[in-house]
Amino acid sequence: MIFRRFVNTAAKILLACATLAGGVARGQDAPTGSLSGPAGGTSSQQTGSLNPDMNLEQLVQQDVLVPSLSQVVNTVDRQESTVGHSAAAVFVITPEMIKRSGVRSIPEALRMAPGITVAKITSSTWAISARGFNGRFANKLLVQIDRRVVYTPTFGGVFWDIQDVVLEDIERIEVIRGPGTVAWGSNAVNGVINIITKNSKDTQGALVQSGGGNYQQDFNTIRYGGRVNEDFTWNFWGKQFDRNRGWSGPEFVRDGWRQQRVGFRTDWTPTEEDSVLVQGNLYNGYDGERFDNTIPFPPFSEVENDRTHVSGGDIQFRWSRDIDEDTGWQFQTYYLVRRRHLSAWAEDRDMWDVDFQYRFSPAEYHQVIAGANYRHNQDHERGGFSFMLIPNSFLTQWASVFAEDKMTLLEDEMYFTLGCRLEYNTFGKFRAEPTARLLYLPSDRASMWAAVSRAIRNPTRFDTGIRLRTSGPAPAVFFEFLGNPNFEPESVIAYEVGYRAQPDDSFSWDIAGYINDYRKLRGLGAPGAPIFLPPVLIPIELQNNISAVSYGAELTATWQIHDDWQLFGSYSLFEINAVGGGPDQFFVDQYNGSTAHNNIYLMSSWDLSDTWRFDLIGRYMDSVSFAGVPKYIESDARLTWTASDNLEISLIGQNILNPHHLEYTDFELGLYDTQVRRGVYGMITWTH
Amino acid sequence: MACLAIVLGGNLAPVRAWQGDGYINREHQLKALFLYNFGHYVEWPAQAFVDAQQPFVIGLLGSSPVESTLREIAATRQIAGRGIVVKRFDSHADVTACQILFVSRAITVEHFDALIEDLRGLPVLIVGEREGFASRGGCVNFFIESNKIRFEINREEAKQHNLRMSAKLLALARIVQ
Repeated sequence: MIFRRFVNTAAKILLACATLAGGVARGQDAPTGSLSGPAGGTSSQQTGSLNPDMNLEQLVQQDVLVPSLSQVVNTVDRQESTVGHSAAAVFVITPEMIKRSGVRSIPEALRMAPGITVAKITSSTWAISARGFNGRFANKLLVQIDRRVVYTPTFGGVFWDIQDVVLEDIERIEVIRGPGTVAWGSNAVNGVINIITKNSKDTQGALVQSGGGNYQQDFNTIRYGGRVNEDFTWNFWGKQFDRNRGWSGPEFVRDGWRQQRVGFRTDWTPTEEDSVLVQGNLYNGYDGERFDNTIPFPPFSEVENDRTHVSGGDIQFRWSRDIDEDTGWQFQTYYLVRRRHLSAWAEDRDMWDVDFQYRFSPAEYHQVIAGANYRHNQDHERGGFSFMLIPNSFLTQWASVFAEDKMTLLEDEMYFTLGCRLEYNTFGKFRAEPTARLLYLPSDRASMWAAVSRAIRNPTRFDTGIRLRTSGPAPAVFFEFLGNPNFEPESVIAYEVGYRAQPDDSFSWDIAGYINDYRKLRGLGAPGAPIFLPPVLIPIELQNNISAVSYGAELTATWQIHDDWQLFGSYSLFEINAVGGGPDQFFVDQYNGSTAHNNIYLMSSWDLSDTWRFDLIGRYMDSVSFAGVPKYIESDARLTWTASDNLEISLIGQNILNPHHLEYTDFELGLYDTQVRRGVYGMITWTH
Repeated sequence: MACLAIVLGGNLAPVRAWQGDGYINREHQLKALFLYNFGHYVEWPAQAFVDAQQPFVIGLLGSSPVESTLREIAATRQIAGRGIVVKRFDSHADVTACQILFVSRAITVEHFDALIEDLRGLPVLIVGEREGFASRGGCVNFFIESNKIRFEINREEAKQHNLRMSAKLLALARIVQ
């Protein structure tokens, strides 16, 4: 008891100190102006749930806004639960946070999540990862939009430039640090990000948004939602943006970019038990960039000013049936096409995915969810002397089954979850990815959890078939990095603990810690005998010869200081020690130095009046030695005037502290990095 | 039980977090529960119903997120021994017989007067959620105070509609003229 009081107080003080240190002025939140703290009261652990049999006296006691522990999530184990009931490091980015932070893209929004490192390389390129191993081609994070996998199986990472939705239509972004492989399959090694968009019944009517500035040059969004009848709603939307180039001094790298996207969504509820979702989108765009390309003749390397043409689309179908509170199933399938064409490399691929899950209660105190997944990815690659994938056309398939049992050890107090996924992919045998999770709820305002999981990252086309040539020790001599057809999965055993509490109505906090033990990480083998073509090629093969141990912690806190003022803060710590590898320590050094060790995010949301709001963000990112990036502090600010129920006008400053700052560099493929410039933009949003 | 709570919570509270970082806004779920509860604390005159089989109708004027929760309640609950039917009206012209009419925020103030005029004297409890709704002729109006849903009642208007409100309901309300 004393301990708990101590930690609560300590956390509060930490947040307050951090706020002052970060120079964040007073800000605030809660738009209707009259909202204070959270709930609690007589209801169960589920402060977010409402009992329909409450009488009037009870109803008038219910809080309108209830705190984050009761935030609904379903990424943890594919079932609807709440943050407070999750035995995992879960964080939810709400639409309010997205709106008030003034971000214009999904990568920017992810800066709010603890444990996620977001760093910009060029205007359209990011390095984003969970709990370390960052890089342009970071490959241990699974990202989904409405449960559609959006990472590129070619390298196991995400092309962030093409991940976009109507930001106003995001229902929430669930961010889970730590393995999520039982629920979502390999690649969810260090985390899962699930971007969930709103049901079309919640996006009825018109939305028109338009804005522009110096970096966000211009952007426009139109969405219209309607209904056939009460059970069948739809919307369609279109958006477009032009973003300016980053700062590159006299080099003047033209890395501005533009994109257009259209989409639709329909939601149909034919019966009380069923719901059917069909949605799709198409996009097209150009990303400017400059990179060094290796060529076989003098001067052996040339600078390419290029434009990547990206285009593609997705179509998704999902049918869910909820028979009763314990029983239900869901069938989902989607098909997507991705094209990415630049001069040195081009990829066309299409992917098809089928997923089925079934939940039931086989016995009292057991809630089971089980399912199966099949995925099919056909790619066509075009490379050149500097870079290619062998063979240049390849079919990758995945098949897996999973089951998880959540056992109630003590009602409303202790739960134990055991789960496992068996997965096969074209590059490997069947692999088991088990997890065990214990959740303890000491009171209805606190929860603590611990978990042990084994997760794998399946080999990708990069691991098995890459052929990358870079300039070597002498002119006309090249290193040739080669994929390894016998590349094995990288694996981790993750030990995690967490505690979250909401000691009083205005304050909640969450801490999670982990130790990850990695085996068979990707490294470089010893150089092979030179091949004299000419030119001279020194082959170096990829091998599973690195192991690493990482540890860290993430602390977040939300403090409603006053009805009109809310503070949110997070701190993330990351440490790693990677060893092994061949004579060339590239990957060892990369793992040890590619992610910032300390990261602080602070946000103040302040309602100046019923119609004016002011938000201020402070961010601190530690230096990144391997990428040669110094530490930096940045700040964003947003001022909004709600002119009427239908009209809102905002002025946003992004990265306002420095004229420009470096966030990351590409240490893998010679992309010219540019720095993030100070940005200002204005925006008008009209809804009807 | 815990599972039940989770699922019920999930169904009744489709997350609509639009306000307050890390908070869920339950405004619409709560309002739906209030509307259902009003059915228990208000007495309608006999002529409000044709016969004992006629369902209790809650009308919604204008789109409102209240609707989904209300439909879930209607599916499993009764008011005064009558099944509940939820009817959605897109505009004032579509409004048909109902016992409670909830005028959503989507309906702007300019439309109030004509609506009130049309329903004058009919046994309908008109509930709104815009400032000044009760003093402009609505019976009940929701507002938010200290993070709680509260409501004001215009007793004169309720009488005009031949509705008898229980003492308990009046005690919890702010009375306006």
